Amino acid sequence: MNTFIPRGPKLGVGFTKAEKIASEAIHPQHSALKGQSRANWISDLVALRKVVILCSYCRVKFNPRQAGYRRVYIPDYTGKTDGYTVNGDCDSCRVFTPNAGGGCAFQPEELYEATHIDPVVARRQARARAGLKSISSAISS
Amino acid sequence: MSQEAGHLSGGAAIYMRYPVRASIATAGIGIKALTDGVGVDAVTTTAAEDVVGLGLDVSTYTTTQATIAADIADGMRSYTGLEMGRMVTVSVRPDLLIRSLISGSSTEGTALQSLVNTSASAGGTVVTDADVSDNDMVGGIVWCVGGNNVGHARQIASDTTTAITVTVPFPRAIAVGDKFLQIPYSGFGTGGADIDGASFLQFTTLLNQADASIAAGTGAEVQVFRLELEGASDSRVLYTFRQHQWNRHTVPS
Repeated sequence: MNTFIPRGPKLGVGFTKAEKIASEAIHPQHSALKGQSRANWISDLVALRKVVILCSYCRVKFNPRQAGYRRVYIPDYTGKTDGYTVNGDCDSCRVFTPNAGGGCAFQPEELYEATHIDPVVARRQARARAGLKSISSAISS
Repeated sequence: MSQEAGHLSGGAAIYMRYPVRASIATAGIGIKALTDGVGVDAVTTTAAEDVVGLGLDVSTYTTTQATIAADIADGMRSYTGLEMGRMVTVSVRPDLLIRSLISGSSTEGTALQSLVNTSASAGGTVVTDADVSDNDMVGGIVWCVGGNNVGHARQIASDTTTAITVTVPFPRAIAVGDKFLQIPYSGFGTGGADIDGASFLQFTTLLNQADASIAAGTGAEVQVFRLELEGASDSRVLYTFRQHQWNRHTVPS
């Protein structure tokens, strides 16, 4: 006879609401079709214009420019990362990226501005608001 | 647009994918959990409870069973996109700072109502204009974009439909013709009456911008972190979701 005991700090304590929500998250290995290659999985993500998450090992195999994607930048207030680090389940090798040296994410170009900051544009706008000249033009003037 | 603008505790973002309960038509909107166990859904314009995070792509919800593509080129199989289309990528950290453009109405991209002062205030405490919002903006912010006090902002202490009064005066006298903008948000406040500009934000129709035409202290449950007070069309508000699913210990229920 099988006996199922809910997970928790004490016997009889069930899952928390947060644990239930976390368990609903989709891991690639549960969603990919039997026989579907990882390359095909990523090409389907690209076709649907979905975010692509890759670990540090698989990142070099993906050409974002060819697919019309841009690497996601998120400001890091502590400066511990360069802002281009994003963690999640790697869409290629399925590893949880913190276990593989950190990961990164790619967003379709057409959605990038709606969801993420471009550091170059942000700095250019800030300097324009402050009325600052570029270094090269300040030197030549 | 609502962008990922960093995390209060720093470090890298965490992305997770969730099945959707309804189609997600816009990228960059709040995603919330539901109680029916089918999937997640978008927040509403006035409520953001049980938030899972910020959605980063769009999805189409359907209950149709996925069809495996007949064309299996190179030994690969495909769902024809149906199965994968039913999920949304979410940035899930509860300390995520979200940066939303401030709109002057429920329609995205509407410029804020410009206030042109019609009565001089030597003491620098009263902005007068018939275009002052009819809604209660007490607890929000008024700032100068043209005239003697450009770049200075003050929290609104009281208002009528024709005038805004601040407690701490602007550094210089307010002259006729000086230009101001007002929003119902503030960077600080307990959430109590008239100091509630930091605690609520109403989203625009597509849920991806902040509707600044509503009264201070109304809308979805957020905590304002920072205001980027610029012009009528390029000012932004940064905030976190107070009712995040993984932030419950800090949220009074």
